[in-house]
Amino acid sequence: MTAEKLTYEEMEAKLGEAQDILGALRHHEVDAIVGDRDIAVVRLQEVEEALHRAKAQLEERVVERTAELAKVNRQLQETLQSQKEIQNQLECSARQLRDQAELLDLAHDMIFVHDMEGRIVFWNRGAELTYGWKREEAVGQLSHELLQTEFAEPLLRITARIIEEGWWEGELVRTTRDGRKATVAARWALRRDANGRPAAILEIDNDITARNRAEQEMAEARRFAESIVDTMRESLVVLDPQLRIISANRSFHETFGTDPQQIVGRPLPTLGSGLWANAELCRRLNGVPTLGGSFEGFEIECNGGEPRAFVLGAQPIRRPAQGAERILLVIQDVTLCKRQQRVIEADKERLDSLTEELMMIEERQRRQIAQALHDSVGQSLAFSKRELNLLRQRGPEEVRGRLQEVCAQLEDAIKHTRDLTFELSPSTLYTLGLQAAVEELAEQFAESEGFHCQVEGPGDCISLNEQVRSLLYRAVRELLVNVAKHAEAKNVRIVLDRAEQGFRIVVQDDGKGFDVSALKGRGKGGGFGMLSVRERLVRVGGVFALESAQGKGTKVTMVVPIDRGQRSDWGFDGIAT
Amino acid sequence: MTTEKTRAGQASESDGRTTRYHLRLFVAGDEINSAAAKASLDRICSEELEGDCRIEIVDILRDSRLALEEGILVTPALLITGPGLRTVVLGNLTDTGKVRAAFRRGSEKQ
Repeated sequence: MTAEKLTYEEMEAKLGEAQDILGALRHHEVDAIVGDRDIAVVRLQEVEEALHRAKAQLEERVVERTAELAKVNRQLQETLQSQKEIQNQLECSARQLRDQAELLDLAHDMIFVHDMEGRIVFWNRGAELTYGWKREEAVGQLSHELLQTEFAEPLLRITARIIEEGWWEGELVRTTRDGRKATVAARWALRRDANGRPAAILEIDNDITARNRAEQEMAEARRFAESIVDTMRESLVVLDPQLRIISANRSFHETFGTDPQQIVGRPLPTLGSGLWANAELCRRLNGVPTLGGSFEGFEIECNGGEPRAFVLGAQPIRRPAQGAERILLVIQDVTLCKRQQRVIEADKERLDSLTEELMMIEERQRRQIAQALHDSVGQSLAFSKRELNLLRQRGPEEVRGRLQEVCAQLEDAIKHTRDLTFELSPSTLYTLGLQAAVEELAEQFAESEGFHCQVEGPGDCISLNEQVRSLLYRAVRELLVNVAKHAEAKNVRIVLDRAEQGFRIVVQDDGKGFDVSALKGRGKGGGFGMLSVRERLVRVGGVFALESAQGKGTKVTMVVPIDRGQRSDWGFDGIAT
Repeated sequence: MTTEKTRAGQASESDGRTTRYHLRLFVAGDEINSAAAKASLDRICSEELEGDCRIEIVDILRDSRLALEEGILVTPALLITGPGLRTVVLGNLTDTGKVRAAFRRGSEKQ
């Protein structure tokens, strides 16, 4: 078909026709379309009505569907909300699980979970640190193979028990990655699935290797301490604050005949035949837990049957961790000691008596010897000297010189005899008294040693027996000897007077003095030294006091009692001096 | 089939009477628009053209050749011919103004 070329007007006309056709169609005013071969009837109104009906039906369907959709949408929204809540719950649970897992990781205990075949599904940080395997290394492994677990009882029995009771606990020995054996206190708990079937086992292990070792060491130390305590001669009892017996050592049971099995828990005062019911002892024991309540040296005696004596001491055992205190009572059996002490005291008294008697005898012998020297030797020498002097005056010239020498020798002998007599027993002491004898002594020392010696005294008669009088005289003499030897003094002052406590003599010099502490610790040797003076004074009930310092002289005060009403061994005999 | 009407609208064969306008209406049977066009055409003929017209109804469902010959593509279509006038009005002719405009347009083209 060859297209004819249309003019503009024709094209415009065609366009107008086309527009008309479109307008008619648009206004539904076309019934049919004419084609080359067919005619198409266009019932647009019917179609439109059908469309309207269809549209109405569709709209109904749409409304229905919309309602259904709205319903479904609501259900969906509800489902979504529900799912969101479930999701939130799941997230919350997940967070909690993560937190709990982190908490499990914070625990020092070794915590792991294995399934019923024993394969590890969880392995915490504590297990990593103690056993040495990382989580990724441990998960999937058979736990008891990995850890070479040594069971105290068969695993089958443990498994049966955990399935039956849901838990098990006991001690196990595990081997760590580096081969170390670890003793653990294990606690197992069974987890069941939703159907109640055993699903997994949670194991919590606490490493008690060090604790066990410490307990063993403590037990050994305790046994060691108990063996020491049991070997002690002293009886030891541990009491609680209510004075109930907690333990006692072997010596206690042997001493008091108690049964170790029967006294624990019993109050101490109810024990035995009333020995421990001592009120003062109970009072002291109750005070031990308080500050400064410890005591020692408390003596009790048991007079039932064979007399026995004990010395008790107690001190608190501080146990801050337990919040309570205990009392350690130490009992020393001093029965034998007391008996020996009484014997010693009796012996000592006898010895003192003998000593005094010997001293008296010695003093009398001194006097007798002095008397004999004075009366016989002294007299004889004096007579011989007088006769020889006469012979020397009348005799020939050639023997005068020799007689002169003999007379000089006799004079020396007479002087030595007089000095010896004086030293043995100065007659002045027995004839004129203590003060006169001291004055005579002072004159001698002043003359021989070159220091000024002044004696002051009441001058009247003082009732001192012969022993005390001699003792004081010899004490003053000893002190003057010391002044002469060591003091380098220029002046010595001796004062005799009555004091409240008795008769007092003070010997004081202005010499160089000395350190008094240097005297302490010296033995009793050195003859009739200061210590000897003090001991003898104490023995007669007197007092000896020494004061001295470097460069400040020395002062010695001696006091003896003069009261007849006091101890008989003070030795007053009423002899006037 | 072609049906011609007089001013009175009665269908008749060509009676040989001379009219100014020849109105040939192509319809598709008695479809809604076609029926409406026929009714409108009768009213136009009598009221607007005062009967000075010859109406020819052509049912394309019966014979479409004339329509093809006249270049009619859709029905109802009114082919107006007269002295120096040839124009086509599409639709059910209920819009009288559109028909009047077609007559005026045809007159202006003259």
